[in-house]
Amino acid sequence: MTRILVVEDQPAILANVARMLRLEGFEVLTARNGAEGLSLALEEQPSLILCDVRMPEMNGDELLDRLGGDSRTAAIPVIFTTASAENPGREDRMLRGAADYLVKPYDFKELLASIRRHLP
Amino acid sequence: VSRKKRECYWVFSPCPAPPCVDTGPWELLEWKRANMTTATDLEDLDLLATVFDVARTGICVISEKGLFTKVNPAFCAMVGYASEELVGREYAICAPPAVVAVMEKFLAANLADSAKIPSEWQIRRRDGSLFDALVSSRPVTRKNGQRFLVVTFSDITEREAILNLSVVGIALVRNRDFVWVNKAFEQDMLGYEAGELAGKSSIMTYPSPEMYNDLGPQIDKILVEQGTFKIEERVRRKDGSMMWCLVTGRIVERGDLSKGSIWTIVDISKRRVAEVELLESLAREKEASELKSRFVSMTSHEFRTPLAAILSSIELIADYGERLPGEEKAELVGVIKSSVKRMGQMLEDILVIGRADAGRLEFNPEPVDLKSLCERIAQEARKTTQTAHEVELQCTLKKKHYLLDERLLRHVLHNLLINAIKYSPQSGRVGLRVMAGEASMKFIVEDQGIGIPLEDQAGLFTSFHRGANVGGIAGTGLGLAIVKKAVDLHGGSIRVESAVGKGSQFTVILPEARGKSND
Repeated sequence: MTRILVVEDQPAILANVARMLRLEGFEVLTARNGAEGLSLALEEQPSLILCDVRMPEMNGDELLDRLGGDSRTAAIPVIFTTASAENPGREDRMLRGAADYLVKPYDFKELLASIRRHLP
Repeated sequence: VSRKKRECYWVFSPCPAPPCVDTGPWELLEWKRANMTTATDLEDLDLLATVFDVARTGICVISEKGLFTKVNPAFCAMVGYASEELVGREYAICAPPAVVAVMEKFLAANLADSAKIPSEWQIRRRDGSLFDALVSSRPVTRKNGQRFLVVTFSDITEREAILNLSVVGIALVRNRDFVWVNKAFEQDMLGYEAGELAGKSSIMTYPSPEMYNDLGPQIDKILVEQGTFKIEERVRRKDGSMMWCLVTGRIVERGDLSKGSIWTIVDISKRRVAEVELLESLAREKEASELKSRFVSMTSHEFRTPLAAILSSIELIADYGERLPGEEKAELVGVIKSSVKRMGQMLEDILVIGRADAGRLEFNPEPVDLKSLCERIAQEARKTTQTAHEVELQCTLKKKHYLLDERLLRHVLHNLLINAIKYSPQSGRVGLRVMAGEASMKFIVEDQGIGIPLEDQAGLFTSFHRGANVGGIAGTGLGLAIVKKAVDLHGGSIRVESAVGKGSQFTVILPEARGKSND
C-alpha cells in the first residue's frame, strides 16, 4: 500500500485530508508540525509528503530543506499545501525542490491528481 | 594755508602753535611763513591740506566753547551746510539733544575725557533729518593752553540700514556672548527689546542649557578649524518658544576665535513645518499602504484556512458520504459550522477595527454586574477555543455594579483571554484577575505561553502586527489592536510584561465611567 505523510497544524484539515486519502486506499501518516513530520519521514519512509507551510516548531520550508539534505529522504516528493497565495512563495519553493504547490482551499480532485502525478 | 580761493585751511603740523585760532587768513599765512623753515615743511603742509580736502570722512574741529572752527568739504556735504555757514557757529546745530547732552558734559570738563564720547552718534542735517555716524575724536591742546576737539565722522546710514532692515538675523558673538545684534534677530525674531541682548550670554538663544554646554564647544572647534559652521536648529525666543532657523557662523579672523564670530540667522520655521507635514503625510500614506498590504496578506491567509476546512468537509460528505459513519458526518458538519464562525469572527474584528479607525466605535456606559460579566466572558473564551485550558478567574470587587461599556470590556477581555489560551499551547493555566475599587477597575490576564519578543512589543497594538514567534498559530493580528482601541475609548491604560518562553501578563486599568452607578 502506498504510504503518504500529511504534515499540517490545522486539526480539521489534517483529519479531513487523512480521511479522504484513506478512503482512496492510501496508508496515511499524520504530523502536526515540521519536527514531527521530519522524524516520521525518516522512520517510515513515505512515498510522498503533503506539507503545510506555516507551522509551529518547524515550518514547511525548513522541513523541505532538511528532507532534501538527507539522502534517506531526498528523493521523496513533497507537495506543499498552503494558505499563502502570494509570490515569491510558489516559485521559490518550486525552485528549492517542491514537487507541487497547492493553494488552500483546493479540491480533492486537484489534490489526488497532483499526488498520482508525483508518486514514484 | 591759503589756497586758490583765498580760503584758509587749518591743518595740524609739527610746527609751533599759531598766535590765535580766530586769526584772519593773511595774518595766519604770515605766521605760517615765519614758522616754515624749509620748502619741505611747506610741501608737507600742502599735502595735509589736500588730505583734509579730499577725505571722504567728515572732519571738524570744535573749540572748547563748542564752536566749529574748521570743517572739511566731506563734513559739509554730510550735513548740507557750506563751510562759511558752519565755521564760528555752535556745533549743536548739527547735533540732536542726546549728543548735545553728552557733549555739554565733555565741554564743561574742558575736553578732559575723550573716552566718554560715544563712538556712534546721530548727526542732524540742515533739513532736520538725522543720520548715523561712526565717530572718532581726540582733544588737542596747544602750547598757549587753548584746547580743541578734532572729530571725524563716517556716515554709516547705509551700513546701519543694511544691518537693521535685513530680514536675516545678524549677530556678532565673542566669548560666547552677544557683542552686537541686529533688529531682525533681537526684536523681530526673538522678541527682545532693543539693546536687551548685547552683552548677554548666547545661552539665552540655545534650545537648552545642555545644548549650550555640549554643542557650543564643538561649534567653536569647527569655527577655528574650518572658519565656518552651518546648522539647522531651534532657537529659543524670549518667551521660551522655539523657532527653526538656518544658523551660519563665520569666524572674524581665521584661526583666532578671540576676535569673535559673525552669525546670520534665517527663519526657516515655515519651511520646516511644511517639511514635517510632508514627511508626516508621506508616513501616513506609507502606513496606509502597508496596512492595506498586511490586510490583503492576512485576509488571504486567514480566510483560506477555514475555507479549506469547509471545502474538504463538504467534499467528504458529498463524494464519500455513503462510506462514512454517521458520527463522522456529524463531526464534519461541526467543522463547517466552526469554520464559518471563525470567518464570521474575523469579519467582525475587521469591522470593529474599521469602525474604531473611522471614530464610529462608541462608548456607552451602563451599570454592569462586573463579576457575572467576567464569568460569562471567561466561559465564552473556553468555549471558543475548544481546548483543555482552564481559565482561573479571581474577582475582588468593592461593589457589585460598575458603570462601564459592556461591549468594549468584552472586546478587551475576550481578545486577551483568547490570546492567552491560543499562545499557550503547552500550558493549561490562564488567569484572569479582576480588582475593582470605588472608581477604577484593574484586569490582569496572564499566561505561561510562548511570550512576546521584546522587538515585537512596541508594535504590539498595531493592526495586523503579529509576533515573530507565532509560528503556525492562526491569527489576524487584529485582536490587540481592538483591545487597545477599546481601552482608549474607555479612558484607560494597558501595559504588557512578557518574556519569550515564559509567558505574558497584560494589565488593563479602566476608570469607572462618570455618572451614578446603581450601588
